[in-house]
Amino acid sequence: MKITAVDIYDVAMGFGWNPILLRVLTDEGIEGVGEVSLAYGAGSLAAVGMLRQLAERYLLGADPMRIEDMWNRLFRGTFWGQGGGPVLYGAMSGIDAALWDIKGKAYGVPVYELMGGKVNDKLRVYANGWYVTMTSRERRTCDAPEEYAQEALRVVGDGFTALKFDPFMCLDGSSSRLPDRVLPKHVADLAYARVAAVREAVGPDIDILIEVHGNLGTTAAIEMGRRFEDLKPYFYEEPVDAMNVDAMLKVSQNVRIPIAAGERLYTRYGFRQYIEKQVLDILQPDMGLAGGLTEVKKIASYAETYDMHMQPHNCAGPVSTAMAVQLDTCITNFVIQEWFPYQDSLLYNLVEDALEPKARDGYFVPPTTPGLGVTLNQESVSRYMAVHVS
Amino acid sequence: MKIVEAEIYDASPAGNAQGLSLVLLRLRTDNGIDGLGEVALAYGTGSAAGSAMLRQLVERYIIGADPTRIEQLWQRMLRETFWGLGGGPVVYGGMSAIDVALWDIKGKMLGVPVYELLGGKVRDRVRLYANGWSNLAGPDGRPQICTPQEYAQGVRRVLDDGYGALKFDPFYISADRRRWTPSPVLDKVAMDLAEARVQAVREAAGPDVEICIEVHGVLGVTSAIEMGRRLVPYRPMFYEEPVHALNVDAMLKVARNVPIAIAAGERLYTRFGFRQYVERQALDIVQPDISLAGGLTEAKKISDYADVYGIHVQPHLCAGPVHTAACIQLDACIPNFIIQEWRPYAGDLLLDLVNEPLDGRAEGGYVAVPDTPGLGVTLNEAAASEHPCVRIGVRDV
Repeated sequence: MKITAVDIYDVAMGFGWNPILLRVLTDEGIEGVGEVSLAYGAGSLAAVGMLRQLAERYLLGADPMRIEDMWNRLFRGTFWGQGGGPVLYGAMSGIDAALWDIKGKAYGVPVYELMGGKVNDKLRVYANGWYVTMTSRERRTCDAPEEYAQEALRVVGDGFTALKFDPFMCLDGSSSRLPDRVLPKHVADLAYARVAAVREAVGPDIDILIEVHGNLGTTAAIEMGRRFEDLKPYFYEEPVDAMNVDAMLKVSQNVRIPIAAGERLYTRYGFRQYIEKQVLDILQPDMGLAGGLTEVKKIASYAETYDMHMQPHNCAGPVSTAMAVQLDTCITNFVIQEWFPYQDSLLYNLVEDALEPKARDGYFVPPTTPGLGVTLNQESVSRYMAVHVS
Repeated sequence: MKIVEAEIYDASPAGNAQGLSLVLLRLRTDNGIDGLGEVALAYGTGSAAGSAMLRQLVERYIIGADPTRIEQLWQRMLRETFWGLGGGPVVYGGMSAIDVALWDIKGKMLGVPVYELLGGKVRDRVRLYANGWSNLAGPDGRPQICTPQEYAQGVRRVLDDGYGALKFDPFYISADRRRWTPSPVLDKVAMDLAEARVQAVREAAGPDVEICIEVHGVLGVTSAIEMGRRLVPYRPMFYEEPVHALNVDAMLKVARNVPIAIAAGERLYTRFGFRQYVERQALDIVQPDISLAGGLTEAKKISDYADVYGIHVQPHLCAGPVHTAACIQLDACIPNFIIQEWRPYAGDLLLDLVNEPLDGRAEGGYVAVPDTPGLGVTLNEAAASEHPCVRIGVRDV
């Protein structure tokens, strides 16, 4: 089998999410899909450029079944593979997923079947994206603690038993304003009050996950973490950014809440010290950034030797969700999956039969269809076609 | 003062046998001052991502901004882009080009070279080593230099041109005269060939010329240590990226087992990336690429941080003439500078993209520090107009 063409879609939807999708076509008519998880922040355009160059130089004419070999070629042959970041490793991830999709379809089995087989018959998921609404119709954020409590009850009413939010976001009515590294007392008090209100509303049996997006300095992260302890969070995510493992370690040694991070770490090399120094309890590699299914499977098995759990980060488009589900199904140290059930349907409609709306009672049952389990909705994506490489 | 317009050039030389692609940025302000920067993704695979990243950063953070607030803009790009706090060569490369262009503007605004604003001159001329002499392609497209004898001959030209230091990668060309990426585990034949090349160069150059050995991170730890030990008798000035810089402990193992100064850094970015290589004393010489590691703002901080550990700085240089100018600005003002990479033989580097490039001004193995305002080079608009360009913003003056 040979790769004959690559389509790259720059899905600029105009309401905050900009998924980058790709489709790899072969001479046997089997095609694979993948996603680069740079749908938010500044970087989506760079992903398109990177995918184009990789497709032109490495994919056309290559055998899509030689996934490990292709990964290694991109890692060593591009020069920047041995010193990359979200753009390069993101493009490698999207390509890797598309190749696994092709291989799964070629053998008529889901990808998890090729990566060791099913371990988890159903996947526990937690709801995210419920306190900030960013759709084509409205842009709204919670503000007062009571609003968080009210929205959290809606999530619980929808059957979810775990929910996540960033209590430091949504300041002054803006979803994009970042808190200072050193928190003023009124912001610290507001953040605490929001978490306390949610805990009071949902009761003791629902898991509350606290997300910080790496925005706090070490001092504030420790102080806030200690305040949150009595509210029994499930984990405390990216309390500081993951640019210095020793800063994260200091937080982890001073706060009695499991620490989660990993959405801005890439490949086993990036995760290495966070694992070996026992900094984290839960790893959150992004399937569309950290090196794809090939690499994240390796990260998961590496983490397991340190008794760490896996929660693939998932905050991009519907192909990224499918990539995460495939991994979750076949790893023994899976703990919970991030899930965005309240997105604009335009986003889900980028694929046929999106997975997100199918979670029930806080769980998702992995698909049994061959490959990744989703195909692009050609009618929705065609207008976003950015580059056709052939 | 406000930034009102930007131009991003994707420039490749005609024919482009070396696959070189420069990404150049020009920022223009409302009072007529402009500044130049470059993303140093000229080689490998990534230039298209670099120019696209630059475009998004400029559109979202730079147009309309006050160019004199360099530190604040750097911080905004680090934190507000999301990927700044977890970036790589593309994100930090885009930030770097902007940072350098902002320094160029500020220097011109105040009528002084950039080094004057970064602490002032600590040297009047910059020592250079010649790179790029050993991997030139012949008329048939194949490497000209392959056998040890050919390396020895190649060195003559470098010495005749007055350089007292030179660099090459003895693993870069296969025994059958191909560019290749050798296996991380080298067999004895490949090791013998690499050693014979270094030996031939040392014999041709004599005892007083500095020989720098480059590995491009292609060896595994075992081969890197074995090869390093073999090269000790030829007294290299440094052993560069003997292993890739994705695991500081692997580099540290090589450093502890090879009695040659270890250099690395072209694929490390920001102080955060350099931190452990500095703190754990894995390196003797850091080689930040100013147009990838975070610009002049960040490279100055990396240099000062390294100085605390007695570590020297050799800015990595393998891009276009704007990048070269940025290197010289840093070299001029940091106390722990050791030597500057220089590529006098690298073929068409599109030097004509700027007026009066510094690249052509080496003499006797040194280049004089320029005293012109800003970076010291300006865009050659006629030459630049030959290349694809994305324009952002509207000039309203």
